[in-house]
Amino acid sequence: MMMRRSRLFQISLVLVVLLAASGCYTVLRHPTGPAVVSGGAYYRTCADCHADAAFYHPYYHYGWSHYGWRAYYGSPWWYDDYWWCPDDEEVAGDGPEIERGTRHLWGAGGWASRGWGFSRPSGQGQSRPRVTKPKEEEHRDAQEADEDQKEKSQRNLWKKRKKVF
Amino acid sequence: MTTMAWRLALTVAVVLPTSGVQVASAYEGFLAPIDEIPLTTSILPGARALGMGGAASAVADDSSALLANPAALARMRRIEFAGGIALRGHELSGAAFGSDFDSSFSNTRFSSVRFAYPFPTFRGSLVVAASAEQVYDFGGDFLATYDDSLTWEEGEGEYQTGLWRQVEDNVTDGGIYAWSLAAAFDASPHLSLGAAVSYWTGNFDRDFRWRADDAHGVSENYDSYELVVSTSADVSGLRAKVGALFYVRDGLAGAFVVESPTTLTFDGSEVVTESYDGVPEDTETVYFSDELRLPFAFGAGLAYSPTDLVVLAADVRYCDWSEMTYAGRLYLDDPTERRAAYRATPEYSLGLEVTLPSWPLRVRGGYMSRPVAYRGLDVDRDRAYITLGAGVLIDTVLTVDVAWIAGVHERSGPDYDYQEKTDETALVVEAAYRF
Repeated sequence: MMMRRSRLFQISLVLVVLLAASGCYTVLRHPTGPAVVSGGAYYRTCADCHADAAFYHPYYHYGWSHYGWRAYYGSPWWYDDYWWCPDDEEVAGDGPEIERGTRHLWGAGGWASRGWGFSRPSGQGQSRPRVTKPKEEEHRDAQEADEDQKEKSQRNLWKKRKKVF
Repeated sequence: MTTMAWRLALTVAVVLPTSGVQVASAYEGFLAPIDEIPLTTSILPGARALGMGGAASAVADDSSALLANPAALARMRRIEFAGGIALRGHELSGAAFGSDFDSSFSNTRFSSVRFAYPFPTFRGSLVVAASAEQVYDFGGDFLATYDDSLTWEEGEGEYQTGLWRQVEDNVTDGGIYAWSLAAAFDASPHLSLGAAVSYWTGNFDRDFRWRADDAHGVSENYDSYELVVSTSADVSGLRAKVGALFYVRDGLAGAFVVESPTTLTFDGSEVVTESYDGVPEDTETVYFSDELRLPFAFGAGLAYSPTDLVVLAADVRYCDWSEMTYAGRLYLDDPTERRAAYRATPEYSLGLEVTLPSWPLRVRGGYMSRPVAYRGLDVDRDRAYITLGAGVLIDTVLTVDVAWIAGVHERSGPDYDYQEKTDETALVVEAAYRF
């Protein structure tokens, strides 16, 4: 009897391992490659990258005659806005302007926009010289800086990683 | 008359678990189903599946998938607590040797408590679940009074045959609960896989009473004889189940399920008491530990949603019960032919679910074929059920499902005057809360 149970347990264990090993499709943590995180507003929704994953399931179509079924079946508990889709305005716009190439944290010269504490009113004394770049050049510089940073972050051969499949 | 003489006269139809002797014929002894193993009757699925005729392997989308097809757990995206109760009843009626009999039985039990947890995923699905479900219910009642010939030992070595009035009263109780752990994940955009391991535990109790009265004055020495056999056993075993769910195309899914063989251990005791003319004369207690092995079972299913409002489902489950062993394989007591006492049974389920437009309500109907595996009696009308069900969604977090089934089957003695008809009903109510 014990032998049989032990055999059953071993078979179950092998099956579980095989199943887990073959489950590379399921991803518990989102990949962090540049192409994923620099996608602008789109990165919020899985469906943007995984359209099949979002809509293949027949039950996400079935029973949509009432809003409740959709919420009951199709709203993961971990994400209130799982099927979020950007509206037209968000898609069309660039979003709020982002300052790049400056030191907003730990800058020796104070805050990038305001210096230490306060600044003199305009016209009363010498103000701090300000260098501005054309917007396109500023954007390109920021992208290059981003790429450099990402390359560095990927040189971690022995980095502690979580198992995902 | 000695105990041995009575047993010889009655042949060996009283099941002696320690002896390993199994006589499959329902006659040459007792009419009560004391030798029919009650583990071949199919397990009641969840309320939603039951409303759809038990077709669940490709339809399940909640924690009840743990029982129907573990792979279908991968459909879940919200944490779920669920539980339910089941009211089962049956009425057994018929005629034995020209005398009608009728008995009924019902009980209400917790049928399931379930929990499912989907891990947060960015792609695919990973869901784990645990449950406690009643997978077998041993409750039953058989009571029949009839006049039939009987051979007894009137004096030392002096056997006589005559007509006695006999009463058989067989009451069974207990059940098996499965404590299960399961996991499922999406192996590809269109394929989900899952597995479940269950520890079965429960009890089986039976009180069998047979009384023979000399209503026709055929004996000079005895007025009555009574045999009481009280059996009680604890049951345990392990069963594993693996399943796959494949999305053929939008709205069409197929499923496949394999259930492992299961060795059930029955540890218990049997107390046999004999009384002559109302005076107990002999009591014997036997302790036993029996092993009963259930064979592989295979299931497949389809679910099709032609529109948003309709789901059609079909399941088939196959189990070759002739492979069941209980101290060896089981054969009918036929000296001319080796015939297995149990047969392979393909079980069919057909179901339909319709969502009412603009209402959080679904109604269901189905047909469930559950052929009788036991061959000791001739099956005149095989077992089948009509099912009805409904489910309501309350505020997007709570569902309440109700299912009602009714079925009937008829059997008769192969070579003796016996007919029985069994009417079965069940009402299952389940609620599920999703976070």
